[in-house]
Parts: sequence; C-alpha cells; structure tokens
Amino acid sequence: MDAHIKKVYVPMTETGFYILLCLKEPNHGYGIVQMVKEMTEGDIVLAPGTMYGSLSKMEKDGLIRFVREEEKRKIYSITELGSEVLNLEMKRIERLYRNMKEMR
Amino acid sequence: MMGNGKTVFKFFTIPQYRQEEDYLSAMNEKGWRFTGVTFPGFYHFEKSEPEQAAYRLDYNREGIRDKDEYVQMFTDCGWEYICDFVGYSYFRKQGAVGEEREEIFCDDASRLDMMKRVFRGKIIPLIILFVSVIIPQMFMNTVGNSVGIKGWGIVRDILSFTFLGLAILYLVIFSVTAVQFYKYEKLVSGDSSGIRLKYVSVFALIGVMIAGIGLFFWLSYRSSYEVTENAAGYVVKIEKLNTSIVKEYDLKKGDAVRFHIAEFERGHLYLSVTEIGKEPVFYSDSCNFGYYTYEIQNDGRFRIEISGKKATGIVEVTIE
Repeated sequence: MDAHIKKVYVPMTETGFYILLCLKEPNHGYGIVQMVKEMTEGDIVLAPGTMYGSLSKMEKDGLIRFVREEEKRKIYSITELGSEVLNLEMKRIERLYRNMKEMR
Repeated sequence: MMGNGKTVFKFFTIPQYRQEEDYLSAMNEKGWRFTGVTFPGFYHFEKSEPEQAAYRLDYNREGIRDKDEYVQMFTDCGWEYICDFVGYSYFRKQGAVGEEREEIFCDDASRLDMMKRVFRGKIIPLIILFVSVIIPQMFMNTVGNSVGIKGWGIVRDILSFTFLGLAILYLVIFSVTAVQFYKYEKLVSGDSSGIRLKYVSVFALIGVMIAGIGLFFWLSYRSSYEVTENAAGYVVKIEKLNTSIVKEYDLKKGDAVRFHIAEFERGHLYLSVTEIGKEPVFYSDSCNFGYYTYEIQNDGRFRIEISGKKATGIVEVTIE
C-alpha cells in the first residue's frame, strides 16, 4: 500500500468506511445508501454528492472497481487493495472500541 | 402556465455557490420555480405556488460526463436534477426546509472535495491565464516602444492599460475567491492557525503583486529629468520623460534653434518650436539621434518644447 493511499484513507471517513463495508458484495451507490440507513436505523443517510464523489475517487485509487451497469446505476465491488484498507480500519476501530470499554 | 415566466440577471462569483443556493430557495418561496440558467447569468423562473424547496449545486465534471449515472444517483436520493451551467449542476428537493439543511454532502471531507474541484476546474485556469498571458502582455505593452510605426504609441498605451485593467480584475477575482474559500473552509473544518496561515499567505502574495504592478506603472509613466542652462541654451538629461518641457524665448529673424539628441535609449521624443498663439513652425515626430535645426523667419516670442513618451536620453538645445 503506498503512502498516498495511507494518507488519504487511514483513518477514513464514516462514508468511506461504509462504502467499503457494503461493497464486499457488488452493489450500486443508492444500494449502499439504503443498506447504511437500515444498519444505522435511519441515523446515517449518505448524501448523493458525497456518494458520487467518494465512489469515483475510490475507483480512481483502486479501492473499488466498476463491475457493470444496471438501469443507469454503476455497480461496484471491493478490490484487494480496498480489503486491505478496510482491514486496517477495522483493526483501528476495534482497538478504539476495546480501549473505550476498558476506560469506561 | 403560458407566459408566466421571468428571467432575472444575477451575478455570482465562481465560489459563491452557497449564496446562489439561498437565492434560488428564496425565489421558490416567493412563488418562482427555477427552470434553468443561461450564459452569462440569466436565471429563468416559472410562476408556481409559493413553497419551500432546497436548492443545491454540485461541481463535478466527471458527473457531467457520465450524466445518466450521476443524475440517477441524485434522483434515487430524492433530488430533482434541473440543469448544468458552466460546470455546476443544479438540484432541487421540494418540501419543507427544516432546521437541518437538506444536504447533497453528508461529511466535511466531501464538502472540501467539492471546493477543491471548483478550485481545480475554475480558478487554476484563471491563474494560468493570468501568469502566462495577462501579466506578460501588460509588461510588454508597457515597456515596449515602437519607434517608426506611426500611431503605435497610442495603441501600446491602450493595450498597456487594458491589460492593467484585466490584471486588476483578476486580482479582485482571486481576492474574492480567497475570502469565500476561507469562509467555507472555516465553516467546514473549523478555524485553525494552519488555515489562517494559508490564506494570509495568499493575501500577502496578492498584496505584493498589486504593489509590484503599481510600482511598475509608476516607473513607466513618471517623469524624471534635469535641465541645465548654459550660455548658448540648455541641456536636458532625461531619465524618463512622459510630459513636456517648455521654455520660452524672444527670438529674432535669422536666429536658429538647434536640437541635438546626443543620447537616446528608448521611447518617443517630440520636438517643436511654436510662436506664441500660432501653429507650430517646426515639429518633429519620434526623433532619433542627430541634429534638428530650425531657422526663425520673423521676430517674436517662441515656445520650445521637448515632449516624450517613456523616453530616455539627452537633448541639447542651442540658440544661435
């Protein structure tokens, strides 16, 4: 993983994290929005400008790749690099959670 | 709804997209639904029920290229696509605008990304134009002279001041943009000394440029010379001449006024002899090195004038 990817994505935004998490299965942008809404009981509603920008940026950086198009919706899925970044983030968040539990 | 439209001319600078959004929402609330915008800034509206609506602008060239997928993303999320204008895409969401702004961006990182896209797409081309065309043209037309080509002097002056005007306009645009970006960035990521330092440097740079341009024009259009009288007439040593040096003499028929351009570096020099209250009896345009002599034909009082434009040199005037 090169320095640029690390600098931009570690730590990453909540939006970025949810995108990578949801793209373990191929999905399109709005599909991700719906999944996240469900997972967070409506607390997090990802916005279209953010989604479009993040998806195209992540595609350019090779974290996700374009699979196919369905009814004008681009379907993406996570790449090897994307999984690596996601794993790093998960470890970071796990540690955060552990530490929070201990200190409480 | 036929004929129930109106068009308003409104000017927003490049980074004022938030003001533009608020303006469109306010119009919607007054019963004017935004339908599109055409160059250079005509906003078209149609009469409708006064109701609340949120308007948002995105700047995403990639989105405009892959328009179908881009618009679909917004449509899915409940935003109506209205139009594109100079790289911006306009969206609307009908209904109550609650306490919380309806947003097309849900985090600060993506708000800053949009600013960066605007900067890359709109401001950088202006900076390139400013550095590679405006400044060199202003410089060349101000310093340059065109000895021998009649009428070029005035063209040069017009060009030099036109490019000065453009340079000032660009610097104003850059300043307004910097102020606007500072406000957004402060809003998005909070005030910090890093951000302040960045914008202070930008303003310092703009200030230095304004001072530099001012100094450059002052040096080009000032007059600095030294007149030394001697027994036979006078000598004018010119560092820079953009005005007239006039001396009056009582002369008799048979006297001769002799100009000697002993040194001449650049610019234009004009020499003339005029009897007071009459047309010039001698006039020389765009002089170069050498002697110019005029023999007085009648007694009277004469004005001897040396005028210049961005001229540098030495002129000796002898009355014989």
